[in-house]
Amino acid sequence: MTAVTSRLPAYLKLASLQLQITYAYRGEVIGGLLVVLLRILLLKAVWTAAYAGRTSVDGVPLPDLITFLTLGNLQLVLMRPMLVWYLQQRIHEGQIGLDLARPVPFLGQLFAQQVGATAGLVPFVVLAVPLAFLVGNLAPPASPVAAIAYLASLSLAYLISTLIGLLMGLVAFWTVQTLGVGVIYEFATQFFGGALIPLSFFPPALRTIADLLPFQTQVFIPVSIYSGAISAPADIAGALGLQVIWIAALSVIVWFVWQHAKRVVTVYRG
Amino acid sequence: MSRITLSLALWTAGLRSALQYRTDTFIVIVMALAFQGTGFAFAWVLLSRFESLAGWTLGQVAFLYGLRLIVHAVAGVLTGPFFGLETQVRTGEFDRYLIRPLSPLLQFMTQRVEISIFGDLLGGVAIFIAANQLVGLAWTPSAIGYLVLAIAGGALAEGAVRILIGALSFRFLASTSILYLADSVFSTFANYPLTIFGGILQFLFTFGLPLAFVAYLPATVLLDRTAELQVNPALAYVAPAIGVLWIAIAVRVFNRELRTYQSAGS
Amino acid sequence: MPDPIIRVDQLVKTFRSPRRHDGRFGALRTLFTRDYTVKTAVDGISFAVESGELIGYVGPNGAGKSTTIKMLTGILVPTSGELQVAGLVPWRRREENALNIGVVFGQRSQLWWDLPLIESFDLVARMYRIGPERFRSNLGRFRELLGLDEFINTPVRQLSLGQRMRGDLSAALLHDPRIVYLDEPTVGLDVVAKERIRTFIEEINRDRGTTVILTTHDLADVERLCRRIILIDRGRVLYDGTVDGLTASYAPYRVLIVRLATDAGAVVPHDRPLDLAGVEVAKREAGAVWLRFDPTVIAAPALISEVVRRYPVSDLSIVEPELESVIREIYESGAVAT
Repeated sequence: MTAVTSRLPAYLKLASLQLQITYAYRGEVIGGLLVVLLRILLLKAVWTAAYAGRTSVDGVPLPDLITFLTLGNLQLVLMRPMLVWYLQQRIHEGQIGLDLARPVPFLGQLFAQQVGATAGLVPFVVLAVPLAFLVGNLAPPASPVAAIAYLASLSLAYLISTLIGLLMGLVAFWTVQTLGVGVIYEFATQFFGGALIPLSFFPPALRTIADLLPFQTQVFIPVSIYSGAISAPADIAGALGLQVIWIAALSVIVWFVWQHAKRVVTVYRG
Repeated sequence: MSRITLSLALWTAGLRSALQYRTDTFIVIVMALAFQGTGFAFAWVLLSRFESLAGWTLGQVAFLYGLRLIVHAVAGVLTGPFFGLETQVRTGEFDRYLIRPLSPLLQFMTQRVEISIFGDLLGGVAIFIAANQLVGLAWTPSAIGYLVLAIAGGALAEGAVRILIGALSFRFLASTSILYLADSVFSTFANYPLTIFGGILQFLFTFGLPLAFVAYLPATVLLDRTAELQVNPALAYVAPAIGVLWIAIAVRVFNRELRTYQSAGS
Repeated sequence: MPDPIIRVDQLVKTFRSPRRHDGRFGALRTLFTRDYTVKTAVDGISFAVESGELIGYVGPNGAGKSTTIKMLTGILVPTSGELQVAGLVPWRRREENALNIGVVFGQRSQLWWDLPLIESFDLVARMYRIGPERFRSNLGRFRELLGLDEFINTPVRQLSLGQRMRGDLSAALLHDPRIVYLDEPTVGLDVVAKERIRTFIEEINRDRGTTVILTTHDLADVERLCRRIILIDRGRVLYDGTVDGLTASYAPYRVLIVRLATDAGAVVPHDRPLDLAGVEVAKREAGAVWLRFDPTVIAAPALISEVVRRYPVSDLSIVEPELESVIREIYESGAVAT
């Protein structure tokens, strides 16, 4: 732990740099948020039409459903793995050697930058919340316990997003064309994360697939805790536990891939 | 006539230019399919659980969805390059169109072809054909004729919006982000029956942006659902003509804004 | 005497740009601002060009050269003044004007970047409605004069700068335009490539009588190709006439470099100026003196014999003023000498 604290100034500096860069690109950030708000608008309209006047379907009241989806989509904005694009850019520009040469662990650098970039997004997302409330719906958490558990789950989800983002970014060491990966990831998280259709409405076959993928841990699980769909303490623990398992699994995969990637870099420079 | 063959020659040159980048082509098409696929997967899964959406069955929604994708692809045939107009104006690259004996708008539109349109076309045709199995529409000659006109008219409407936004580049030098926003609006809302949206949005999407004319209104005609329309059904029948109107206005505005063009100095 | 092919009369071009606001909400305030800065790029330029002339259009950066050319080619609309090219007002009848002209930008290509060079030629031929006979004959000529064969099937983006420039030149001249505007055609090229381009320009001007307006920073281009030069700075014409006339009227001197057998300082003292009319000491170094003299006051042979009579000369040479230094002096003083 002392290793981390001694490097803290360096990490903070990297993080604040990314924060400034995010602010510099605020036009695009705002544009992206507008797109998400449009999506929420659509979801509300489509789901209201689907419910066709019924107050509740499968035990899910319409307002709760809309809150679910509104929150889920806002979450996805905050959890965007910015370092996918950062990594891809640095690798293609051949600058990655500079980053690796820094006297700070590379993975630590990336994590600091991801946090910085996300921090840059936060003010904009906060500003978007009232608009999201207008366009969709945002009920308060089901209970104080739910609120706390939600924050825990959200943090774990953020870690998972970062790890996946890291994996996708590392792909850039091998292939030239990496643009598609990040984009497909966005669709996958939306659909299989349950940000368009809550997973409880999925047909059985698709539900099985979704359960096997990590994306539900990024959207469906945190939001379910928030709304009280997962309320029994045992269930909450189980859900958080699933997230932890995914974090562990992804960390191992990332570590492996990273070892291979390091070898590729030395080939590059040689 | 010779102008048409010239435009075609320029367009195929633009297509060949884009195809030089082999890997890019593949990726772009896959991405377009993924993007549209997610949207459609949403509608599909939803409608397999719920019986209908504002009275529209899965087959009918798929019909609308596929039609809209096809229109979007056709619109992109000539208006894809507009996302790069702002840059070309800023760097002064746009000048080259002004010193050649041909409409700058035409030259600009044919310089390069957006390969993603083929992804959209592929997805759209697939969904449309599948939808037709479900809907069982009787394709009479007049229906086919109307379909062709509807696709053309819808493409003109969507293209006209891009040209109008592009025309902003000359005065304000900012259009790309607005283009992306408009594209999002069309991609998000034009795939669904407008009746699911409130009155204000329906009004905006009919008399503000020509979103309704892209696919929804023609679809109501083909699917014989004009009874549900808030507006006069006649408007749905003449939807293609509205597209022509929009493009005529857009081209005029573009050419007028071109006059105020101040190219970047040396 | 036929009408000039290009007639420019009191041409003015001003640009209005909104004053940029800084600080908070800066971008928003800039959008709604009423404050404009007005920049006058071209401030009353007048000149006339006869058909078949080869003119150098010279000026420092920001002088208004490209702005003038953009108005002549129809890209920009003038703020005021009159402009006629081959009987047309370029910005009013842009497409017709385009048929009469060819343009080459040194910094930017107009060829189809991703396609083989020959395809650009084909597309240009279609656009300008060039008949197959003329296309074949012109292209054949350019292939020979510029050596296009070795790269005519290569995509333009893979060409070297020199090759691309040859391609752009050919494309611009394929339709036998009456006037061709060349903007920095030799920039960034090596000596051999530059010479090749210059020879080509000279040939098309001579053989086809194509009027050439050459905008350049490279005064060697001007010295080699142009009989007439228009000098502009800060949007105004400073000089319009022959290159020789420019030197003669503005820098009417030559320099005699005298190398002495012994140290110059002792022989040619500072405090006593040379008692020769029209001669002054321009520079001195150990063992050499630069004498600037006005050839209209004292002829070179007379000066030489006088110098040799007075001083122990080991070597002599005469230097003409460089066009570059002449022009630089004109920019710095902003004076007109016609």
